[in-house]
Amino acid sequence: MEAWEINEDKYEHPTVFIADDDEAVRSGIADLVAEMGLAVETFGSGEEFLKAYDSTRPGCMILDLQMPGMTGLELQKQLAASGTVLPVIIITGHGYVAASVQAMKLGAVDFIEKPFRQHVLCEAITKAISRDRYLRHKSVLKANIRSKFDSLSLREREVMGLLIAGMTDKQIAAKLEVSHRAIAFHRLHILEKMGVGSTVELAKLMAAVD
Amino acid sequence: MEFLAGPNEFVQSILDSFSCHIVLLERDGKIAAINEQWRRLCEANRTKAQSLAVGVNYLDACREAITKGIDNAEANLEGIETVLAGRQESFSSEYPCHSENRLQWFSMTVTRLKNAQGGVVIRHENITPRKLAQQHLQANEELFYGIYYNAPFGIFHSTIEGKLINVNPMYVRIFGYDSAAEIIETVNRTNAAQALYAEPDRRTDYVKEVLKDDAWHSVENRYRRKNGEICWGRMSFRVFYNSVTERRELEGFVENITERKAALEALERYQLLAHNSKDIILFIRRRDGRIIEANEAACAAYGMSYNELLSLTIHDIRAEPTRGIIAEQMEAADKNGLMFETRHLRKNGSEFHIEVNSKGMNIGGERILLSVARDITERKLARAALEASEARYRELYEQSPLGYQSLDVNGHIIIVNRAWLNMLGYSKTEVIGKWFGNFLAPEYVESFRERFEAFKKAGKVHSEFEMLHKDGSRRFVAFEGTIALCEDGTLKQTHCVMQDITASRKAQREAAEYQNALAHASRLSTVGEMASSLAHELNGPFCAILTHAEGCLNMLKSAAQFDHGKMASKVETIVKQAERAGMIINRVKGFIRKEQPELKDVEINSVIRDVAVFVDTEAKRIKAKIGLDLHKNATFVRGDKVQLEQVILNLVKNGLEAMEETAWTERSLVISTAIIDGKIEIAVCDSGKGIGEEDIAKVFESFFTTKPYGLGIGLSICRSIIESHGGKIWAKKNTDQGMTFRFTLPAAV
Repeated sequence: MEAWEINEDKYEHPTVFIADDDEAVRSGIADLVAEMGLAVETFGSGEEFLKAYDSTRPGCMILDLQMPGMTGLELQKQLAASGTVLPVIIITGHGYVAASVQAMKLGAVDFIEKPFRQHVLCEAITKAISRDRYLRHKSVLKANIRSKFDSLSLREREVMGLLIAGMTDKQIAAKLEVSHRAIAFHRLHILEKMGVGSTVELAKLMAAVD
Repeated sequence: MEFLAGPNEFVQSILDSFSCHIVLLERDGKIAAINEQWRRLCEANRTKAQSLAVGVNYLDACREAITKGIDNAEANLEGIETVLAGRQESFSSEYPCHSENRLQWFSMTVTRLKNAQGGVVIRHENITPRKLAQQHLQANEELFYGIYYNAPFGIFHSTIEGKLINVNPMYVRIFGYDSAAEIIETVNRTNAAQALYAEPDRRTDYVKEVLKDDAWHSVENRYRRKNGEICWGRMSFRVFYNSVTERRELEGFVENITERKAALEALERYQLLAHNSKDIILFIRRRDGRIIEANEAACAAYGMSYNELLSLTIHDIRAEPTRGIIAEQMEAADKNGLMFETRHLRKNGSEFHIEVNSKGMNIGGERILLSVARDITERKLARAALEASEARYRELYEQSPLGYQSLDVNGHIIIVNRAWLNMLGYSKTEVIGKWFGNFLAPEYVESFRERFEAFKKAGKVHSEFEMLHKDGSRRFVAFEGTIALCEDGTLKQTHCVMQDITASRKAQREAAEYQNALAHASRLSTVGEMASSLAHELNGPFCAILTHAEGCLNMLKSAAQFDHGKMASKVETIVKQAERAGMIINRVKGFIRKEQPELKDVEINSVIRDVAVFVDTEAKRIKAKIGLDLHKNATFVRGDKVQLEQVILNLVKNGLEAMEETAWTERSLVISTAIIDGKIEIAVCDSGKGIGEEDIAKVFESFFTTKPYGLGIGLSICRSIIESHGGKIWAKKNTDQGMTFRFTLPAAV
């Protein structure tokens, strides 16, 4: 597996979080999710959820838009503000077009109109979980690369930027007004620190985290 | 008596030189000597000649004279004897001694001779001239005094300072005192100015003038009488030098001119009257019609000067065609006074209408016609205008499309117009004088009687009757009436305007039916609006049902044993949710119902609670709080439950919509009931964006809406529902935020 590739296998115990003010609907959905073999937690309001949720926990969310108190949209905004990337599936009554569009723009991965068939729900959950897995791994990778990057000196970072941009050693030396040899040295150190074998791999690595 | 044998020549010549008559008497009365004058007198008076010569006893002659009855003889004799006797030194008397054709007076002086022999000298003198002069003077004095005493004007004599010296009786009377002494005493306590003048300071000015020369000066002055009355007096006076008191003094006379002044004033007033009168005043001589007096107005009216007018006769100022009857009119005016209209001529030849009031009277011995006349051109024009105007009003009355009628105090028809007659198909003669009740549909006759009485008292009326057309058909008629009173306050007649509202009544009925249909349609559209939110509400139960049902299927399909309890609970949830859905649908069903409102006793608080539940989801969606403040005694109203529910729902919905733009935290809607003035009042109060002042009045009108896609019939339907329940609905801005819509309903008894 290349450095820039994401290992999606090490992903443990995702939980499906359900927020809906209607108890009957909550319990109904919860049973279906349990049937999928996933852990499930239910909440009667957005506030309840926020109190209990910890962003390190993997999984996804099933969120009712039409809730009293904190609405679904508000919750989404709060999660975005706090930088949480939990995938959200919106469930909504029939015909709330404007709100649904808003929710999608705020980053919901899917929306389902009530009442819905089981398979629709399951497909959406599956999609959401994989998304979550992907995102988490990506963030680990990012952190990794970040720390490697931090170990670069200022000069090295400068040179790296120009390397990724596609300039040759010679061109870089001319631009920075140093010797060709110095650039060659820098390149070697950069590749080593970043854990890649070539400039091409370096570029792929940096692209993976953007 | 030697001495007296005869006086010697010398003495005799002395005696003769006297002009008076002298006789010397001896002691015994014998004449001792006489003088020339005496002798001549005796000769002239032949009767006494002999007896009065020397040697005759004078006393005897006197005694003889006494017996003849001659005046003074006795007194004279006595006087002579007294002196002779020595009792007196002298005696004198004056006595008349008239001859046949002449008046004569004599004076006799007897003087005692101062010698041993005694005797007297008697001197007679003809004092006729003096006596005559005296008499003359006396007569004059008497005359003068008579004038002074009886003068019809007051005469006074005073000092320059104003102290009265003398006044005549008239003066006393003029000033209202009782006697000359009184007025003099009173005045002289102060002076004439203070006591007698109304304006005391004036006297100073008068006196100053009069002292300038010795001419007579005349002034008119206001005087004060004893009783304080003020009168006018004309005073003529002058200064003169009194040789007796050796100083300058004032004399003069005073006339009471109060009456004259009053008469003058009265005359002035009448002159002013005539002068300023707008009417023409003419004095016309009866015998020849000559104008002998005219006032300013006359001159102006005829366009002539005073002198020109006075050179004309009445014939000259009358318009030609009217001259024929002048003689008759003058005769009638002279006898009894006459008022008539005619036409007069101006100097420029134009004519004008005139109304004349003429009366005969005696003035200065002549028969004069006093004529007061007025230019009535304007009046005639005004009358013509009035008649034209009257004609117009009559025309209006007759031609008016509204019926007019007037009834007398008993309800009989005095007058009607054409529209009235056309409305009911009658002719004027069939209607005038008849009782109004005859034209009413029978069931209204009784109530007309009552209402007519009430109308007369109240002065106005507004009512509707059914009347009968001549052909028997019915007409709905609306009346508006007022009354007219006579001057004494009794009813003169009624004035009524009436309108045939048969057509409009029909239209009204149709409109009411149409409104009902509209309300029905509105309910349906409201339902349409509510249906979509209900659909949202139904999503919940259906979602629950579906998820649980599929969950059950999962359990049933799985190979393993399923938990029965769990399945039972799931199925129960399904059942409950299905029920919930059913209730939601039921509420909608209640809305769609038949048109005819069902009147029942409706418990208003429970209707409000139902509506609150109904809108609960909607309210939650916009995070509005719905509060209920329901008075426990506001229980039953009489009405249609569905309609009332509709009204409350409409108001609540409007309130919620109004709050969509308010801040999340401030959305609150309160529905309250209260009992006010025996009515039940329901209020829906929101904290929304409110309605502009200018729109609040319009908000209940059909097709008025502030919503972009609204139809605008909701509130107008509400109003007709509430009003048909006998209530009122209105809206007011809240002092803080939002609107409160209130409506009242009569409580069910």
